[in-house]
Amino acid sequence: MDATQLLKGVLDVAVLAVVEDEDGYGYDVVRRLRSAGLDEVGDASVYGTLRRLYTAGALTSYVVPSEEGPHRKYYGINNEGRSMLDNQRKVWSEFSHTMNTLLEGKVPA
Amino acid sequence: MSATLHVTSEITEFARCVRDQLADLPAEDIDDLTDGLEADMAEAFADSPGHELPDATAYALELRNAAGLPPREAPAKNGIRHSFAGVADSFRLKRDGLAANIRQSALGAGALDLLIELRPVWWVLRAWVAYELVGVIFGFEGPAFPPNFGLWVFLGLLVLISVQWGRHRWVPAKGAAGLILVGNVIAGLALLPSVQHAYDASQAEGPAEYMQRTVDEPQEGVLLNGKEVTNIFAYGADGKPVKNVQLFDQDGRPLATSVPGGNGCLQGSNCEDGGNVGAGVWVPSVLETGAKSWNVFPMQMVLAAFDDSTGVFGPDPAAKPEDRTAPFLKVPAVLSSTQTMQEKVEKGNG
Repeated sequence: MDATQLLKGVLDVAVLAVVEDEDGYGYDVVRRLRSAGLDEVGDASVYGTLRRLYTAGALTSYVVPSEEGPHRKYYGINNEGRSMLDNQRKVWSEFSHTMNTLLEGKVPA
Repeated sequence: MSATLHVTSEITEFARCVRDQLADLPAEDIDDLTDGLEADMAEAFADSPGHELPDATAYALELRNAAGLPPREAPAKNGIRHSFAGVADSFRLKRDGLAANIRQSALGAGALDLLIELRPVWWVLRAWVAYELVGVIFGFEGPAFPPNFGLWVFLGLLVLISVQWGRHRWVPAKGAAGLILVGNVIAGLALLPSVQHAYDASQAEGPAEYMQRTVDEPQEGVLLNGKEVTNIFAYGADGKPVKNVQLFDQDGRPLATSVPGGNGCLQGSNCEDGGNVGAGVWVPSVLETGAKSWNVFPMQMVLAAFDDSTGVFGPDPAAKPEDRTAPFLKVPAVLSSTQTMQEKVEKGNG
């Protein structure tokens, strides 16, 4: 099974979870996702997802000038994003429970 | 995050190619997708040296897909709108490339960030330049600030539109991005001339206002329904106009209008808008004592001109005082109330 394909379906919730505690810029979010074990995540997918979540109103965005080099565009979660994250957490929890049950062969006859 | 990021020329070129692949999207989308791209790539490189840059086309496609944006459109169609859009896209790519180069130094990046912070100032300025340019076309240009409420509203509207466009809001179509770019160039070129023009106008306005009231005469005069009366026309009992009528109030004070020392329109109405064409000054009568009198009606007016040597706007020495046009050639004759009553009595006796 290709984990990359699975990742596409859950990238939104993964990105929201990453910026929930602390705002982050594009590559920072990529790095946090990879640190969490999602090694296959592509930077462009994350940047595109950030932009889409921002357009959907789930994230706020602001630019931070840098004295050391190029400026950074930071993203932070807002109330709508938190509500979206809570909802997706429940969906994922139920889905993963169902899949675990299915894959472990504990499906009721 | 690394303390110092090094944006290599390869990264700059890569970012340019990615933006090129996104060039069919609105500027706002491209900025959203690629703002900070150079910094992100530089940091990725710092994390894993030897890392190869991905293919720009595939990278741009991945960005689009993840952002839920449509695949790239076919190359631009013919037409003015697309030409303008093409100009804007091309300009944006060059701008982004240049910005990336400037950002390679901390000083350049700082200066660029400062300019970015100052963009709202430019949005307001370009709206003001547009106001001045429209004013040149419609004849109300000149002062830096609108002289009346209507023009303030107009200027406010221009500022609102300009700021919204600056925020990538209210842009009617993608092709309009090119038009806005052209407008920016025009506004940039017209900024200094507009400032100079407004400054000149404000300088010219000072003496003109001063000349409105230069004589130590009463500033207020006869009012009718709250409005200034500028001239009075008298008619005799026979209904015909009477000239050189001296008027006094109940206490014997000269009944003067609001115009002593002031000016008005001798010909046409252009001078009402601040122009000097056809402007005249009111002329007092001279009494047998030699004193000037402002309560003799109808009052005359003489053509006014600027005296370049003294800078004073006053009576043209070569012009003769002219009568003002009377509102009526003749009015109904007076039939006194006493006479009417007497006639009635006589008729009754007869």
